[in-house]
Amino acid sequence: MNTTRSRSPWRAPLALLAAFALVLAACGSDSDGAAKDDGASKGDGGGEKVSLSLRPQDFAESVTLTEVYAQFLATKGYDTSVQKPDGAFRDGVYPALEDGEADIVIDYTGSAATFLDPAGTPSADPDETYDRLVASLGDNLEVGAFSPAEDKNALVVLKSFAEEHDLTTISDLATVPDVVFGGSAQCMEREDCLLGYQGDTYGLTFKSVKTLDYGPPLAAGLKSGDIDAAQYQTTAPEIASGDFVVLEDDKGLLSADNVVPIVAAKKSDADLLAALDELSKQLTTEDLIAWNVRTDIDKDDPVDVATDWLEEKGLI
Amino acid sequence: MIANLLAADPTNVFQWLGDSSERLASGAIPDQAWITIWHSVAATSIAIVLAVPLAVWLAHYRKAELLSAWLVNIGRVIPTVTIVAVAVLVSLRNGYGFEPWPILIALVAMALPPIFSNTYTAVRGVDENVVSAARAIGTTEWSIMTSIELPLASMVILTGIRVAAVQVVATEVIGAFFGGEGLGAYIRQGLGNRDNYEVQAGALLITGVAMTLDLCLFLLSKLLIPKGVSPVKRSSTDRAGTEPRPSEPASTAGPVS
Amino acid sequence: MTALSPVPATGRSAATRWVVRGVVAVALVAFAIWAKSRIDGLDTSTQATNPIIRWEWLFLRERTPDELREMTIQHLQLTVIPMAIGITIATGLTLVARKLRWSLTPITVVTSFLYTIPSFALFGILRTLTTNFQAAVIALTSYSLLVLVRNFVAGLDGVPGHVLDAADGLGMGPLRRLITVEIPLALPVIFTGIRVATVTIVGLVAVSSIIQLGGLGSLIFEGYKVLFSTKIVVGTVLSILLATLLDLLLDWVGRLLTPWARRKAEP
Repeated sequence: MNTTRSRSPWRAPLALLAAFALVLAACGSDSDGAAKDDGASKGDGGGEKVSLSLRPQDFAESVTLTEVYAQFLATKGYDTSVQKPDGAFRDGVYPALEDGEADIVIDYTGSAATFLDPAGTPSADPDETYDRLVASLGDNLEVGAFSPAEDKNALVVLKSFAEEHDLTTISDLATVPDVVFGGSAQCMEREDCLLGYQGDTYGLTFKSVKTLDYGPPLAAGLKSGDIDAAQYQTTAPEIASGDFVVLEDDKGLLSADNVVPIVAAKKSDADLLAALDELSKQLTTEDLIAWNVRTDIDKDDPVDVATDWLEEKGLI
Repeated sequence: MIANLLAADPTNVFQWLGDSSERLASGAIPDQAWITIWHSVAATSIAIVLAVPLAVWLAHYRKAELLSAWLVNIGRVIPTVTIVAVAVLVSLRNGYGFEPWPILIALVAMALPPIFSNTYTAVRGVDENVVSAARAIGTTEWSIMTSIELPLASMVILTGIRVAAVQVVATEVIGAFFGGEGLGAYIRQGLGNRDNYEVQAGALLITGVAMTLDLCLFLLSKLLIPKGVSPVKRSSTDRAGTEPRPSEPASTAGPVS
Repeated sequence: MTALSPVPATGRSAATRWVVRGVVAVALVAFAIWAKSRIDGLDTSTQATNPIIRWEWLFLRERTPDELREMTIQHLQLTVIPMAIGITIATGLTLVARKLRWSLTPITVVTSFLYTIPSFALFGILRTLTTNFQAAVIALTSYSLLVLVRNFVAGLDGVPGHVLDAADGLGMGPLRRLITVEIPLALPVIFTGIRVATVTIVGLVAVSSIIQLGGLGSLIFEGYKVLFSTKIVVGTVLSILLATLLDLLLDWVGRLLTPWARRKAEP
């Protein structure tokens, strides 16, 4: 009697502790296992390779582009890794580049220039835009040559909407009452987006403004009629298929936006820039559209799309 | 110091709240607050209209006991994010767009389990003797339901409604990440543009609305509950007040979100 | 501020429990068979139609298992760490509340207040003050406290008075009485609290996707961002499975710890 009494009291709390220790241990060992697996797949490069970390922005085309560059650089003997986009756009990507968290960002000339130098004059000419970008880079950043592939920002509307209101230019929108404007959260604070449309350049008044994630949700918003006009990409599959039309930028608000690699200066050297240029000149706007069809419509993985394209071009 | 005060960017959350130029894209505070409030109130009302009569009826006839027990668990286990995401996706597939149907339907779905199960448990817990006595003096089943069971259960039902309403507000603001509007827009916009003050301001406003709604419903319950209805059911146990009150319903039904 | 009563220990009969488990098991087997039949008929031409679930994404895509495992681990971390902290804090608060009876009201008010803050707002505001992971852990911990404290206090209060009298009669000190008599007897209610809090937290982890965490919930957000329903469905189903498994696990542990409860006829 006495022995059982003296044994039982501690059993319950101890078992409780043990149970949680078990759960914790199970959890911990799992994560160890995962880390090991990741190490095995990534770390087979040996010590001499230059490691490069590429950071995409959080939309499919940027992820695909970044994957293409990363996989291509890997064939040139670099140890590349692509970070998770984690909801970051330029205001997350460039600080990472400056802090050394990331080494390469694949960006678009005009948008990058506008981000780095908001006061500059936009231009639809690729060379002028590239010069503006080069001028706006600080000492910490270097830039490769720009690619012929271009994905501009554009104000797009449904084809039926354009026909109904007889729209060809952005200025024509002023004649349409109660336009609902849609764009990403970042667009709402950019001069070459909402601020420019509402401000001095176009002076449009929108009935309301709606934020939707850049990519399929924004396109879906146009199709469903939640928004009438959207700041979207010229490489959108819906534009290629004729569902959306691009309104002409008659007042020159939007810049040329050619694909361009931007490299942290301390990782940059002639070999790397030459490798980047070799790839950049092979990209075309049609490639970007084809990738977006696969990622946005077919929901394929950007990684696979990138690999398929590189294989098709004989680059890996 | 002066340069700080004159700077265009706000230097703290209260300055942000006072500066309307910051809200070009995310909308004026009263507009967004109105959207959140009407969504929440409409969805909670619809859920009350759907759930309370059904639960009272089912509980009165002791039907669907397993369902009511499981509804709590199901409500708790399904992530709130899912309900919103699925509602939006289904709505888009069928051409109904982002607003306002998907968010309203999601909110009603959120509010149903706690309201239903609290009502069910409360009516189920009404003293059998009271019901038998009423039946014995010839009260109709309908009158038993409406004038005996419902008033006696009203305290717990209102608790369920409060729990539901707070959850509904919490879910409504998540809708901002799924193409909705409302006070969640400030958090979406702030996180998207790394504007900490906007995030903080949004969080304060959302919490304010949730607390106010909770407080309103609390005051309403004080006004509505008939005098003499005791909040806690006495259970006949060996030592009053020492039991874990097993007869009391699980009013924590459903997840916070 | 929300008035919440402790969650009572569940009193389902053993028979019902086995029936429910049977139904779940049968449903899982049926699902597996159906899924298998779908995979066998898969080819790339079916992809463009974008059905609600694309099985080949789940079963044939090479990266899927690794991604899902990584997310599940994060989900578990974001559940277990806040729960462990929450249980520690709740234990402390319960002891305080027992010692100083008046403190129960402020404790309840504060934990109810935390519980009423919408998670979206709490994740957001903490994100501006600390790192993402800490923000998520603090927020999730704060949501576990109300249920835990309520049930811990109710569990200890629920120990019948005559048992306490007997313990006092045997000359037990307060600490010894607490550990040897009160906690074991309160375990069913304590465990119910832990189970409810755990399941609630598993559901809430998804919301932390807005600060780049989210475990399996991030799958739901990713799915929305590309309007890809497969990810949403998979994220949801796995999250529900995780919650159910943890619930059953804790239920089982609770039963192991209270063998005497099984002998008692359940109401």
